Amino acid sequence: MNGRDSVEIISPNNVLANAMLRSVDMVRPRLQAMGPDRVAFCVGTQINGAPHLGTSLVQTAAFLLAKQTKRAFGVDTVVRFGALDNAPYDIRLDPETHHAYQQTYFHALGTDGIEDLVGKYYRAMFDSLADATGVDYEVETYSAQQASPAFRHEFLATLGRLDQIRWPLAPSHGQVHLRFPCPECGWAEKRAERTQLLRAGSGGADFAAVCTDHGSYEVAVTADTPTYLDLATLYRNLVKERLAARDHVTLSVMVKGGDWAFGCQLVDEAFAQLPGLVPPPRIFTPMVLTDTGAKLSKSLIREGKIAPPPGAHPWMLDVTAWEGDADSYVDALVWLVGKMLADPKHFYRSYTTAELDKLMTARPAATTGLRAREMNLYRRYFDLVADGSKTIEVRVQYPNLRRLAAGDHIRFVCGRDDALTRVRRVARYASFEELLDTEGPEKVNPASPRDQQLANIRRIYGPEKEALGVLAIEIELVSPPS
Amino acid sequence: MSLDQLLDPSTPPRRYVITGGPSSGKEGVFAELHAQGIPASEGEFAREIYRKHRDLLGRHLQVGDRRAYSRDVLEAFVAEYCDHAFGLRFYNRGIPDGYGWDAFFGLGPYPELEEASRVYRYDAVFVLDPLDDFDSEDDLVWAREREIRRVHELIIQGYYDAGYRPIFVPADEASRRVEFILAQLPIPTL
Repeated sequence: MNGRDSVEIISPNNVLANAMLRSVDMVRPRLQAMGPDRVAFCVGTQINGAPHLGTSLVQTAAFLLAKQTKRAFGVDTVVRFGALDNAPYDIRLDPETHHAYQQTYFHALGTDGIEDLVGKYYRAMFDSLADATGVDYEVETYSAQQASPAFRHEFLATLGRLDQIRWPLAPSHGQVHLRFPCPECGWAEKRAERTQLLRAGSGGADFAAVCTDHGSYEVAVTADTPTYLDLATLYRNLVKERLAARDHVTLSVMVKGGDWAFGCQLVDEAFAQLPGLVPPPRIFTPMVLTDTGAKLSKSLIREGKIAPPPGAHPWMLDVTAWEGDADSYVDALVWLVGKMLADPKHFYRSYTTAELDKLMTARPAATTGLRAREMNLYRRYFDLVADGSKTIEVRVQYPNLRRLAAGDHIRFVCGRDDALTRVRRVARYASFEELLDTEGPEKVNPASPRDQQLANIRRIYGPEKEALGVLAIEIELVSPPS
Repeated sequence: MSLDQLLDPSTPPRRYVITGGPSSGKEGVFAELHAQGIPASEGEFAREIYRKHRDLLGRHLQVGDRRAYSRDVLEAFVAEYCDHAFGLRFYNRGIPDGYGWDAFFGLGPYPELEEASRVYRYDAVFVLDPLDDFDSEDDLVWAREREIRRVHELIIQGYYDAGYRPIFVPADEASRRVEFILAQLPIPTL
């Protein structure tokens, strides 16, 4: 799709990069040890405004890592987007004590408002990333997560060691911020100055807190009480990661911005104070730096504390300023992060805005104007597409395929080979049998009898996948393997 | 004179203020003092007076209501000062706190406050450093959070204006802060 790519990144070696040939090998040790059914690449994002380049880098890296993991290790992958809707929406001071009280985005906007916000800033980008990489994604809000019995059990389990974990979670003074918004108005004391743990047991815990308007109140946290549990950043990550570490079917890989490498030291310390589990694998993505070596901070630039660094474009600070649609932004990001991931030395490092500007400026222009979604194929099927004898591709109806339509392009990929096709028609069926009987098995695979095909397809897609609905995608070859 | 001697209720009165802006951890420090059996203010009566004014007004106090509130708080501080006749006692805020809080609301010092600050002197003032830097992890600083810093700074300034040299207590857990305060007590030698 792109013109000749002669852009070269030069990166020094480092300990991590020196230990592996591919960036994605970072997930391999745990894959080998655990043998999961699938891998979820988890990205958490505060949804308190327009994202900046750093956020997009993390998200794009998650999709590309998922794609590469699927290809390299033959395991099903997904991207799980955690929308942190407990970010403060508003802060006010208690007139009596001047303690800060905060209202979360969730309490201010409600479930529908949060969905709108995710739709406004992220949905188009994620749909486009899913198209570009062939990786499906899920969205989960913090509010939904904290309400789940499993999350609450995990939190309650930490309370027995609160005296130990409070130091890694708040090393300067040992006071962790546990916020329980007032059940009447939803505001909570931000630094929990007057929030107290009254009682804790295996099945629940009682807390007391004080509201500016409604005075003292008590809340009970159990698996099924509606009490909202608003944990500060490190505590939230501890609980979230411990919960993920218990899942032996899906391996969660936390994808985080590079600055989190420092923060995770404290999460690891807290893990060490609790029994049993080890943290899930984490992949830290390149940080975007200013010319001083500091992390690019939209807030500091907006407040005039620092000038925009060399090479910083408005879209780097606010991606909605990108001149083009979501697809063109995603294509640019996929190219950029793809370059980084191509060598561990390029991925496990940071980039200044000047260097990113240089790379993006040298990015090859799209030559065909075609945007093709990628789909991976086993060699035996790829060869049939490549010689034009396979004209129906079978897929289950993942959310990222809901917009697939005639006229779209699909690039089928197998190893280093790819073949570009055009979609002639998309037909939807309830089952694989119905699809094969209606479309004709010879169009799906001219070299294999119907029953054999059915068995092969069902080895790839289990019944829960088939239940999503089945797609017959009629294709025609545009260009044979490159 | 040792701490044990100071704690002897028959010794002359020694008055120590522990103050600081919002979120500096005063609640925890006073709870620790009480737990150790060291004489210290119970609660914070400025807050009780606030609630009394609020209940009378039927709303939170506004700038125009602050002077009357400030005078009532001053009166209570003076009474608390005078009630203490023997031994050591820690005060949850002191008379010069009025300078800082009034300044925060744009009010200048008034004669009764000036007079009380001159007459009723404390033996030392401890200022608790804030337990937070009020920055968020994405460098976002809320305007309201800046007010917390400003209150803290104005309280410190008020004590300097009243002729004190405060002793600053680093952020730490309450028991270690109490340990620090007790170690720093400027006590007279016999």
